[in-house]
Order: sequence, then structure tokens, then C-alpha cells
Amino acid sequence: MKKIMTGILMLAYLLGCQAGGNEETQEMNEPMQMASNNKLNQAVSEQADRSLRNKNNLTDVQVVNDDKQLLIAAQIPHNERLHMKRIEKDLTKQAEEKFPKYQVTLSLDKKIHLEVMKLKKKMAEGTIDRKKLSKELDRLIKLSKEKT
Amino acid sequence: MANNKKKNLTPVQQEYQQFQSEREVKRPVVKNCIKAFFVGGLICLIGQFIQTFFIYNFDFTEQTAGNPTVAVMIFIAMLLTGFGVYDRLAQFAGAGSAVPVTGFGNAVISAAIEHRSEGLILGVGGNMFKLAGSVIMSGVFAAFIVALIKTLLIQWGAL
Repeated sequence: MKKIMTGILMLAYLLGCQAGGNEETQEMNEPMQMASNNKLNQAVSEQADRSLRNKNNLTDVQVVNDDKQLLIAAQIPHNERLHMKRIEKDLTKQAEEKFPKYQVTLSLDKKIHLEVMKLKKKMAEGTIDRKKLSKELDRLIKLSKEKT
Repeated sequence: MANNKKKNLTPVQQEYQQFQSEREVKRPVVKNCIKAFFVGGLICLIGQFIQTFFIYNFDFTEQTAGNPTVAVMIFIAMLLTGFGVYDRLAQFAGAGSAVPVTGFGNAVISAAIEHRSEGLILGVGGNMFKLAGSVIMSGVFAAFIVALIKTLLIQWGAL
């Protein structure tokens, strides 16, 4: 019995440690097309989207920005979720180096990703103005920092 | 029984031990493990559904959705214990239904039901946390120790 249990434990340990090794090429989703609205300039977001996608193994990236803040919501392959903290740190560093003028917030959280997608849809439909966008961004950034 | 304990027994007792160990029904440990694995996994799957529900429909992130999920899972287990369903599940799954957080709800309510005849205060109130109390105590104590270690590591600059 002891041997079986030791065997199972060893197997679990070995399988668990292998997770970071295999890198798969993920199908890249194209950045969502934004309406060319001068009020809501999203050029920085598109630039951040492209550069992060090219450099990293991400399943999806959604970015929005206003004049000061840049909110990046990325999704990583499931088997890399074990290293989430490290990946989040790396990506934040990359984004901060690339856009020093903006206050960068990066989240790998599913909820933030969902909310950013909703926000981008609203922007594409043109049902949100600059003031509301800033307010919504503030709300999302606050939400992404919540711990309890 | 361990060998050193066996030496203290009289020959008759030793003989009885032998007799008993030959006739005792063997526990199907591997089968129990597999059952516990799948039922425990099923409970966690339901928990995952509830968590996803909270993330999609309310203002909870992956970080914060855990709290309401745990509360709902315990509540469901309490209801099922009251209706007598959870006992049957536990009979089949064993540790698979006791180890997840639903086992905690079951421990509270089953103790409350058991001591109902002794009155509301001294019976139900006094015995409700008979088993669950030790779980809470161990949890708080373990959290304290882990927090202490983490604080020390941060102080020394290791983290």
C-alpha cells in the first residue's frame, strides 16, 4: 500500500513540475477593429496589443487606454497558470518600458478580460464618451487590485 | 499491530490476534481512493461552475470570487445534510465528500441534528461545532504559523 501511495505521489510531483516546459504556438486572435473615433484615440492600445502578442505566448490580449492610463487584460495558456505571478510581472515590465508616459495596469484575471472586451465593444459601437471611458477604466483598475 | 506491542500479549491473545487478522474483511483501499477521487472531483467541478457564475454575473474577479463560492458550497452541503442526501453520498464516496469544504457544512449540521433532543442552547448550540470547531481551530492556527513564517522571510529579505 505504501509503495502504491509513494508511486502516486511521485507521479503527481513529476507531472506537476513538467507543466512549464512545453510551449505551444497559439492561434492568435486579431485585435478587435476599433471605430476611427478621434475622441477615443486607441493607437497606443493597438501598439501595446501587437507588441505583447508578438513577444509572448498569450492566448488573447485586450487593451484600452485613456490619456493617462493603460489597462492591459491578457490571457495565458492554461498550463502556464502555475507561473502566473512571474508572467504578470514580466509582462508589466515589458509594457512599462514600452509606454513610460502611461500608468500601466496589467491583469491576467478572467473578469478584467471580460470587462475590457465589453468596454471595447461599447467603444466600437460609439456608445461611450471620453469621460465615461476614464471612469470605467478607474473602476476596472480598482477591481483588478482587489484582494478580498 | 506493531511487533513490540505483540510481545506483551499472552499466548491466548496472540492466537486471537492471528485468528482475527485472518478473518477480517480487507478494506478495498484502492477502490475507495478511486471513488473518493471522482466524487471529490465532481464536487470541485460544481464549485468551479459556481465560481464562474459569480465571475460572469457579479463584480467578482478570480481572486475575490472564492469567498462567495465557498459560502454557497457550504450552504448547499448544509441543505443536503438536512434532507439526508449528503449522508448517502458520504457513504459511497468517503473522503471524497469529507475533504472538500462541503464536508465542513456536513459536520456542522449533522452534529446539530444529532443533539437536537438535548435542547436548542445546550444541545444544538453547544454541540454544533463539536467537530467543526477543531477544523476552525486548526485552520486559524495553521494560518497563524504560515503568516509568521512569511513575515520572518520578508523581514530577512528572502521574499
